[in-house]
Parts: sequence; C-alpha cells; structure tokens
Amino acid sequence: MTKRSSTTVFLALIALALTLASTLRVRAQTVAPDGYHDHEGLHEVRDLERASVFGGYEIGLGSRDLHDFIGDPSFKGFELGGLYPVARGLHVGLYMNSRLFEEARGTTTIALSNGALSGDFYRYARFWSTGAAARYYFLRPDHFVRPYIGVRLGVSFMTATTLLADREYYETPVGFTVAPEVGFAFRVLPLLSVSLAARYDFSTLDARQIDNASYAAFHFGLIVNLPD
Amino acid sequence: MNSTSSLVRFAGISLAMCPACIDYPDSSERVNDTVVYTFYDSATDFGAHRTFAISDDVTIFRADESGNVSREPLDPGSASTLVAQVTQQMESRGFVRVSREATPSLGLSLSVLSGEVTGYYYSYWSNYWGYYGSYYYVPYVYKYDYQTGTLAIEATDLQRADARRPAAPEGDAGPSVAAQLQIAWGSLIYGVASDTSAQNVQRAVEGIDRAFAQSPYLQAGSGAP
Repeated sequence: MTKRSSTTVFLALIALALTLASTLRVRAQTVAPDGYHDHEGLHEVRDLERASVFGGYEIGLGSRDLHDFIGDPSFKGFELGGLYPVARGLHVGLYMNSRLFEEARGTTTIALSNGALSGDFYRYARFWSTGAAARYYFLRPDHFVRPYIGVRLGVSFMTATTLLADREYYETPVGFTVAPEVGFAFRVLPLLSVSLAARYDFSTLDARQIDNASYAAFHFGLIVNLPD
Repeated sequence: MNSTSSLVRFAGISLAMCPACIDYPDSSERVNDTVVYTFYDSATDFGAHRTFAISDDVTIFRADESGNVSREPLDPGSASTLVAQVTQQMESRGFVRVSREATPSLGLSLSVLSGEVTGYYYSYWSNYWGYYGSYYYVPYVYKYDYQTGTLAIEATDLQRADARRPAAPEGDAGPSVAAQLQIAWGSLIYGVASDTSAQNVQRAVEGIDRAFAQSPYLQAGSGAP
C-alpha cells in the first residue's frame, strides 16, 4: 500500500473516531453518570482519576533504516496496557505492543559472494515490546476531551526476515525502547473513552541492515476506566 | 458499559490484527515466478576472453522419482530460440561466436533439468560431457529445491583447460588426455517448465536476459578474436 493511501486510511479513521465520539457524547451528556453531578450553577464535579485499561489498533510508519528495509507502512499492530493513577492527572502502569511490517517487492536482485540471485523478494520486521508506561492527562476527568502526553520504557524484540527464492535470512535482536506519545482521550461514556494518539518508538534494536529500528505509530483505541 | 465485555472486545480486535499471526510464503510459492541464480569463478578474467562457441543442441535431463536421470534433446525450435538469445547476449557484451574448431576461449552449453527433484545440481550433467571429449569437469555443486524446469547455462574457460592439460605421453597425440574444465560463469534459471510451450520458452528467454543483466562483469576483452 502506498503512503498516500495509508494517509487516507488514517485520516478516515480519525474522521470515524470523531464522528463516533460526537455521537456518543450527546448520549453521555443526557445520561448523568454516577459520580458526576453537574448541578445548575454549582458545578460539583467529583474529580475522579480511575485506574484504566487501554488497547487499540495501530498503524506504523518505519523511519530511517527501518524505512529503507521496508518502505511500506504497517497495518498490523496493536497495543494493550493498564494504568493506575498516582497523582492528579498522572498515571503509571504497564504496556505491551506488537507490530508487523511486511513488504513484497516483486523481482529483486541481491548480490552473493560469487554471483547474484533474483526473484520474488519478501521482507518482514516483527516487533514485540513490553515495559512501563507513564501518562499525564490534562484537564479534569469529566472533560469530554483530555489531551495527554506519555512515555514508554521497555524491552523490545524484533524478528527481521528476508526471503528470496529458497534463501531465508532471519535476525532476532533484543533491545530497549523509549517511546514518547501525545494523544487525546474522548470520553464517550462514563467509563469509556476513545483515544487517538501518535507515538514514536525509538529502539536500540540493530540488525544487519537496520540500526536503531524505530517507527512512528498512530493509535486508535479505547480506554476503559475501571469502576470503584 | 461492562468493563469485562470491553476487554473481550479489545482482545478480539487485537487478535484480528495480530502481528504475530504471520504466515510466510513457503519456498515453493516464492519460486512461482522465475528465479535466476548466476555465479562466476572469481579467478576468471573475462577481459581476457574474446570468442565463444555454443552448442546448438539443448539437452533435457529428466529425473524420475527414484532419482534416475534420462536425457533427451529439446525440440529444435525451442533450442534454437534459447541458443539464439544467449548468443545475442554474449555478442552484445563484445564476445564473438566462432565454431568449435576455431579454438574459442569460452565454451557455452545449455541444458534443462526437469523433474520433481530436490537435491543438488552437478555441473557434470552438462552436455559438454562428451562434446569436448578430451575434457572433464571439475564438479561443482549447487543445492536447489525447485520442482520443475531449470535452464542451466554454463560458460567454461577453455583457455584455462588447455593450460591445465597434462603433457601428453610421448607418442600420444593428446586428445585422449583429459584436462580439467573450469566453469567461468553459469546461471540456473528456475521456474522454466520442462515442456516446450511458447509461454515457457518465453519465460526462459526472459530468464536469460535477467541472467546477463545481473552479470555486468561478463564483458569481452578488446583484443582481436
């Protein structure tokens, strides 16, 4: 898939999310949620930061060496995690995510030690990462939209695969990941938010043709606030 | 909304997008299209060569399930198409085709390996065996696991073979004394079916073009033929 079409898909997902969020927002406003009493003129809003679990679908775009290795964006990615509030707006917890970049280049020629080989060419880069997550939410929990920033620190694993004719090359490096993120949580139900975020996963994963395998991830997911 | 049901939904979505559920194409799928392997002898100076001879015949080596190999000639029409393509490519690189009797510096042969075979390709299958009766091949091996129809092209260094020919015993004219043949350049073109349909011959022709395209070092010297 081309970059242009992947951008189109991503923009369509954002439009879908915003439409969904605005639709559900009406419902959220008409059904007063437990713990959020908005008395006329008083604005008694209980400021509840809740533990939450989150997860979602992600699109990835390789950067630098990873982009040279596989130019196509990744449409197979997900993330799961849980966060616990430790201070006003500040949540910490655990995460795990996985992603697969794949590309079929068609007929490609590679040099060998005493010749060359050409044929259908396939490349894959599969990532797993898990570790600690921290996220800071701006605004109060009862706001419809809560911007947030966050960071992930974890260990990551990669399997870089190249297939050409009957030749198969595998590499499985292990490294560390630091991933800053910025996003928005749209509260669509008292305990449910839709999240849109962008993250950059920088890793120390090295393979033969990849130094510091890193990518940008665009996240579309849900945040479930756990009840008391 | 019940958080448990939400989690179940998350899990479902995640599994549907599961990056771990990767399904690599197997090698048989990857060779559906033509695969071209080329190799060369690093000790060969192609610039020292100017002429070549090529056999007009193409032999099919057909292996059965038990590994027995039979040989038969490729139909003349298909053979001439393949030989003409190789000749054209060689001439475009500056080589001059001469007859066998004109002491060429390179000898080219084409053969087709056919059958449901997983194993090893041995260069001594070449139809140069017996063609240049006084030579024998240094066996070289390339493992392959393709199912049908491989076109093999070999260019042997006849100059070096002559240089390696042992001195003939006194009173012996020499032709019966074997000399080693060194394969200077070769190509295996997989995915070319063993029958002679026009489509397969066309695939073989395209494979020949690719074999030469990925062998830029194959250039004749500028000396007189």
